[in-house]
Amino acid sequence: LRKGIAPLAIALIAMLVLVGVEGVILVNFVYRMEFSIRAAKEASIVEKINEVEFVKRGLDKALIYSFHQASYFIASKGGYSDFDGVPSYNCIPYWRNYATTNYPTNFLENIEDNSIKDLNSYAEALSNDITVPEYEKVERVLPQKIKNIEDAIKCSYYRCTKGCESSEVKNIEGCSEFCKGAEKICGEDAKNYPVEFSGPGTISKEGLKEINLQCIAPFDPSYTFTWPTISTYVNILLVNRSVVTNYGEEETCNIGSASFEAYKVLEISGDNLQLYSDSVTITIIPYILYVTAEGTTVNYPGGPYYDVVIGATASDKLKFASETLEIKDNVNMSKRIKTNILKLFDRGRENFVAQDKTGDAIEDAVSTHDCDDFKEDVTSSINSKISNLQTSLNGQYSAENINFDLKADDIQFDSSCNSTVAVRVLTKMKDTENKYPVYDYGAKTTKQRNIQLRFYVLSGNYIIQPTASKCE
Amino acid sequence: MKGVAPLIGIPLVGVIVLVGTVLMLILPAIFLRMHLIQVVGYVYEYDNSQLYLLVLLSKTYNDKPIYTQIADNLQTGNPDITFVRGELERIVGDRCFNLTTSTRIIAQSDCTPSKYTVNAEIVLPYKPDSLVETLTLVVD
Repeated sequence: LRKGIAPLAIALIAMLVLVGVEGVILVNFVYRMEFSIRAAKEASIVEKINEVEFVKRGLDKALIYSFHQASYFIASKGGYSDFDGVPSYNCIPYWRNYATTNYPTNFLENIEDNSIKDLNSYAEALSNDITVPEYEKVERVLPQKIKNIEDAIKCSYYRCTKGCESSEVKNIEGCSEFCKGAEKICGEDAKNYPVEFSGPGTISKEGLKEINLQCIAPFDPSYTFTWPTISTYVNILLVNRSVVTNYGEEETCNIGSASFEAYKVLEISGDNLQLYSDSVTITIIPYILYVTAEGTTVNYPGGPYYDVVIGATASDKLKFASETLEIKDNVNMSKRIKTNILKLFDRGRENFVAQDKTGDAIEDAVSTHDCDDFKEDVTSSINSKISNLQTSLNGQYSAENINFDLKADDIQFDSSCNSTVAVRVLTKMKDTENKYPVYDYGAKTTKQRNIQLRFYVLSGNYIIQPTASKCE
Repeated sequence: MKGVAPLIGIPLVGVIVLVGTVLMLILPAIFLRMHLIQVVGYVYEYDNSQLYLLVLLSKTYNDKPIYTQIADNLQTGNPDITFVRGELERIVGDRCFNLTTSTRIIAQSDCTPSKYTVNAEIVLPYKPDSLVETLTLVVD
């Protein structure tokens, strides 16, 4: 019996040992399984985070594509998104209807509004199990410092300490205000003495005088103004109102760079047009008195042209939720965008709104003709002058990579006199520097295209109603 | 001989029962563990493949983002993006790869991959009915 029990005992012991070993293996395995499950979860979290990253990168690109698309679209419509109250033909507005001008001062807002529509189309297309929120605002991001300058202008004061006795200063209307000493100008009145900051450049406007007038121009510290409120002496270029008769002309007149030599200007920042002194404690703000035709408008759309920074904001967040993971992420963004769109509009305004160069060319053309001349001859003269103007503008702005294309596409004659004409000139201004992949609603294709600003100018010595059509 | 049979039979039965028990208990555990290792390994590798794509789309080539070069090419046919193959080779090493959209091959290696497939949507230049495209990267 003992002999029979021995193998069973051995087997039993072996079994117990094996069960023990298995127990150890199982405990180890359970531990490893927990680790493996955690690793798998972590991997799936990484996967989802990567997907969120793909979406956010996509939104970044979408903002740029949207801005270019909107720029192309709005520029092709002369800066307008709709033509309420503005005569237009074939969806191209009349920027000038003889003396009446229709410059789209809100062209940038129109571009921003169209950008947001396109951006939200992208956001919708990118939404799947990750929800992309709707953007509420796309706008040009001005540095905080520039935003605040409006506040500063609303209540600021200037005190000139040198040069007040200059006869030129005395002769300039309103200039004596600057020499009264610490005169504070607040509220709407401050806008009668608007200022504009600008980068250094050259004084190119004939007849303007640079007066070595030194003024203290601190901002009212009661305003939240992030520029140093330290009093800084700057030379101010006074622009005589009698010289500057049209809004916009003064923008070519920047403070001569010599004015800043004492401050050792180190850098002109791309966006905010600050001049930095070599002393870190002082930021010098150069000013130009900005005299408008009305004398009351504060405006600083011009100045040197740089890339713009466009921001998109959404109050909601990008969201993803599953049983094991929840992601909420901010999708607000801002992108520096290379564009010449501001320059295009400003150059258009300078030449065809502030001035009527087309009208001058037409006047020049018809002045050599009599009523009895043949229409063909008058037409030929007009086309020749328009062509000359085009050549002249292209020469003037070739360094800025702007190409002008002017075409007298409708010439109407007074029935009793062939030298009395109304001429509609289709003006196209193309940014030849940059091409962007944009969709053209006419061609129904997306291609690399230059942005082209288009508008009509109606001028001449024969007054007619502009031919208009509804833009569908 | 009759006395010997039980002496051999009992341990044999014991051993068989023992081995059976061990196999029954341990084998499923081993298989399960192998499965989990495989799953984790796959997910890990999948994530790496996803990162390959993310890295590719984050890089620049000739000072221009590869992302926009691919997107512009898909929408407009320009610019040339044959460089993408070289860039992917730098990222994935000697592994087989294949980068495609639903309609075309963007870049592929000489060998054919089949193991890890990742998809990512990229935005294209504006066109009303075609705003995004799915890129598929297959890597071994």
